[in-house]
Amino acid sequence: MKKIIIALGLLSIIALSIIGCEDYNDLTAPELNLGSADFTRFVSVGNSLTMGEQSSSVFESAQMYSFGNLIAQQVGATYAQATFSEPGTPGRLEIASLNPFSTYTNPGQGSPTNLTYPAPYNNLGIKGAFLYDVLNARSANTCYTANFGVPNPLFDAVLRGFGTQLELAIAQEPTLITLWIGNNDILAFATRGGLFPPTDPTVFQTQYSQVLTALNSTGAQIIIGEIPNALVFPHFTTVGPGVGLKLQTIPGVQGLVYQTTGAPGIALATPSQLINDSVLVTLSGSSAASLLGDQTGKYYTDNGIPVPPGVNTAFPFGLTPENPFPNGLVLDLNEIAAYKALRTGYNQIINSLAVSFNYSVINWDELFNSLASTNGLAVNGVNFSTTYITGNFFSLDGIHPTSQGYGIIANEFIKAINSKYGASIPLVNVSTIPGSLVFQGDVSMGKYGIPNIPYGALDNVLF
Amino acid sequence: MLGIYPGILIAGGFQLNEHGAKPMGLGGAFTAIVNDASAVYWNGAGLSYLEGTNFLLGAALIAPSTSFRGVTPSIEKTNMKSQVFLPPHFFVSHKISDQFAAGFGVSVPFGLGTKWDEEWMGRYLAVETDLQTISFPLVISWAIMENLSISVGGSFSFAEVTIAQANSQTPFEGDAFVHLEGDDKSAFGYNAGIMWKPMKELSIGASFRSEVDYMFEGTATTTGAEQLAAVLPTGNISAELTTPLNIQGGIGYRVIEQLQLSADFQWVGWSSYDVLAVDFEDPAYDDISRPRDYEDTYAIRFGAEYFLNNELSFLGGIYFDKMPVQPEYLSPSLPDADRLGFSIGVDARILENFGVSGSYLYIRSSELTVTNSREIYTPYDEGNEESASKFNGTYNSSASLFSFSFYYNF
Repeated sequence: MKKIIIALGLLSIIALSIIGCEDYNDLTAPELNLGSADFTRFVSVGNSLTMGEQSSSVFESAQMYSFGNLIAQQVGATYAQATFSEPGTPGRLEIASLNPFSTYTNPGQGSPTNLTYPAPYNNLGIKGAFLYDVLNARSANTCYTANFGVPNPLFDAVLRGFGTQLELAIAQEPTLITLWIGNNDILAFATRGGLFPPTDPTVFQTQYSQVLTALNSTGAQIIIGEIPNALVFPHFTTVGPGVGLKLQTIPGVQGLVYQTTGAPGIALATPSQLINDSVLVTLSGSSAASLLGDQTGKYYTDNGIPVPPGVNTAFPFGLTPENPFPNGLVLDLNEIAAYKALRTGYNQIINSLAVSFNYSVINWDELFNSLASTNGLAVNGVNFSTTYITGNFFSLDGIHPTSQGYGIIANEFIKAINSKYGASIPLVNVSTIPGSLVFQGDVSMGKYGIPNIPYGALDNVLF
Repeated sequence: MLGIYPGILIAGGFQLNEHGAKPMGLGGAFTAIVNDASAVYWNGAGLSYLEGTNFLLGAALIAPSTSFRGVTPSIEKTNMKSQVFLPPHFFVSHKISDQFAAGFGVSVPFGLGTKWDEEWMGRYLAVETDLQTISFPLVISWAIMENLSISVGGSFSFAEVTIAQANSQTPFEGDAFVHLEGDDKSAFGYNAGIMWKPMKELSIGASFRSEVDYMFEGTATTTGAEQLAAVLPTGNISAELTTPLNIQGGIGYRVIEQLQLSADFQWVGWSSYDVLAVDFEDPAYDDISRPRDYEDTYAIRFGAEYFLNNELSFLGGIYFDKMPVQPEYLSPSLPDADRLGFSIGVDARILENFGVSGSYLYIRSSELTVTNSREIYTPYDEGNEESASKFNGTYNSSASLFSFSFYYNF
C-alpha cells in the first residue's frame, strides 16, 4: 500500500510538470505602417454622417461604427464621441414587421453618456449641421436650422458651450482631420421635394474657404469628403417605382398628378418615369403613396395636415389636378436637374480649394454608382446595393448607412490616407461588423412593395 | 444572407480510446497483450486466455483545453470553455469451456464535445457541439489451438448529437441562435479479433471494429427576432453519420521477467466522413451540406509495463495520433491536430481476486496554424465564397485524462 502511495505521488508530480507547459507564444501581430500619417490627435468635422447616425437617430451601438471610430480602431488612436444611450436621439426608426414591411418610430429617447469627457470630442460631427454651422453655430439656438424655427439641441450636446465646431477642432491642435460637410446644404432641398432652399454656391464658396483656411492654420493633415449623389439613395428610389407599378393597374390613369413649385402648379409623372426613377418620390411619401385614388382626404386627416387651398379631396388623390400628390414628396425633372447642378458646383468648389491647399479629396461617385448598379458591390463576401433594407448599405431612413455601410465609408477614408501619406493601414473587414437595422421590441411593405412609413417619421432627415 | 453556417458533427478527436485504466497507461498498445475483461473492446480473441469470470469497471476523466488565436491577422486569444467528460467502461467475460469464452460490455467509443462563448468571433461556426455514443459490444472467442484464438462479435449502439451555433441576422441587428438536436436509438456494428502466442514471451494480436451507420432524427429550433420568425429554420431534421472502422494490430514482448513491451499500429478509416449534411424536412429551409473530406489516418502506440512484484506494476506509454482532417476543413467545433500522448499508470492487485489500476494521460496537440481555411466565419452571400472571411488562425490543444478501473475475478 505504501508503495502505491509513493507511486501515485510520483505520478502526480510528473503529471503536474507536464501540464505546466501551456500554450506556445510565437505569434506576433503584424506591424502597423502609418507612413507619414499622424493620428496623435485625430479630429473629425462634419454632420450626421460623421456622427454615425442610423435610422434617423444617433445611438451608442451605431456610433461605435461611425467611420471615424472605425478608422481610430484600425490605427489605435484615441477617439472620443458624444454618445447617446439607447434608443438614442428622438425618433429612431425600427422594424415593426418585415412581411408586410412597416416601421415604428420609437417614442423613447436616450441621454448623453459621455458628457463629462474633459476635452472637446474628437468626433465633432453633429447631425443636421450645415456648412454654415461649422463656422457659426455655438448652440441649439444659433444653428442654421434655428433660422427656420428648428433649433437643434445636438449642438449643445456635442459643443457643450465651448465654441464652434471649428474652434473646438483647432483647440485640439489636431494632427489629422476628416472634413465631410456641406451635404445638408443640398440634401434638405432634395428630401423636401425642392421646398427647402439650398445654400447658394457663392456662399458655399466663401464658407468652405473660411473653414479650410482656418483648419489649414493648424498644420494638420486633412482628408476631405465630397458631396455624394444622394438621389441614388433608397430614400429617393424606393417609393416611386412602386407608385408607377400601381398606376399601371388603374384603368384610364396616365400617371401621377402632382403639385409643382411655381407655374404650372400641376404636372404629370408617367408610370415609366416613376419606375425608372427619372421622377422621384421620397420615402416620406410612402404613406401618401398607399392612398392613391382616395376620395376622402384621408392623407390630410390622418396626418393632421390642413387641406391646401385649391385642393378638393373629393377627387381621386394623386390622380386628378383637383387633388394632386403633395409637392414636398416629389422630386421632379426640374428639381433633379437643379440638384445635380448644385452638387457639381459644390464639388468643384471643394476640389479647387483642396488642390490649393494640397489635401486629398474623396470622390464618392464610383462607390455609389457601383452600389446602384444591377449587381451592386460585394465587399468581404457581403453583397451591398442601394436597395432599401435588403441592400445592406442603408439604414431605415434610406439616407444614412448601416454599421457595415459605415465600414465601407471608413475604408474609403483609409484608402485616401494610405495613398496620400504612404501608409498601409488595414481596411476594415466589413463582414465582421454586426447588422444594425433595429427591430421594434414587439409588434406591416404594403402591396407593390411600397413601405409603410408613418407621415412625419422622416421630417428631420438630414445628414 | 440568412442561412446556417454549420459546425461539424464529428471528427478524429471524437474517437475515444480510453477503455480501461491499464490500456490507457500503456498508451493504448494493448491489442496483443490484453489480459483483462476490456478485451471485449480491444481484442475479443484475448478472452480465451482469461480464466473464470472477470469484471472490469471504471471511468476516465477527460479535461480537454483548446485555444484559438485569430482571426488572422489578429492574434487575440480565445479559450474554449472548459468541460469535463466522464466516459464509463464496464466489461464482463466468462470462460464457457476450454475452447469458448464470451464477453460483453458497455463503452463510449465516440464522444466528447466543444463549447465556446456565445459572443465569440467564431460563433457562426460553433458554439456548442456535443456527441455521445454508447456501445454495447458482445463477443465470442474460440481458442482454435492452445496458443491461437479468434473472436467475432457484434455491437448495439445509440447516439445523441447536439449542435448549437449563432446565426447572423444581418442586415438586421442581433443574432439568431440555432439549436439542432437528434438521436439514433439503434445502430449496429461488428467486430473480430485474433491473438497468437507463438512463444511464451511473444504475443501478436489484431482486431477489427466495423463502421457504424447512425441515422439521426431530431428537431431544429431557432430563436431570433420575431419579425424574422418566418425564415428562421425550425422543424424536423435528419442527418447521417458513419463512424469509422478501426483495424489495430500489435505485438507484445516480455523482454525480461519484470518488463513487458508492447507496440500497436491503429488504422482508422476516417474517409467514411466526407460531408456534413443535415436535411430539413420542411423544403422551405436549405439543407446543410458541407465538405469535410476526412482521410484515413493512423496512430502508433508504444507501452511498457514493469512488474515490481506479483502485486504491483508500473505502466508507461507514448503514442502519436495523426489528424484525419485537412487544415482547410478544420472547424472550431472540433479543433484537431497531430497529437502526442504520454501516459503513466500503476496497476495494483490488492487482493488475490481484486485489483485496481489508475493512469494519467497527457495529450499535447502540435500547434496548428490554418492559413487556407474554407470555413467562413461571418455572414456572406452565395457566390462570394472566395472573397468571404475565412477562419484562419492558430489552434493549440492539450488534454489531461485520468482513468481508474477496478477488476474482480472468480
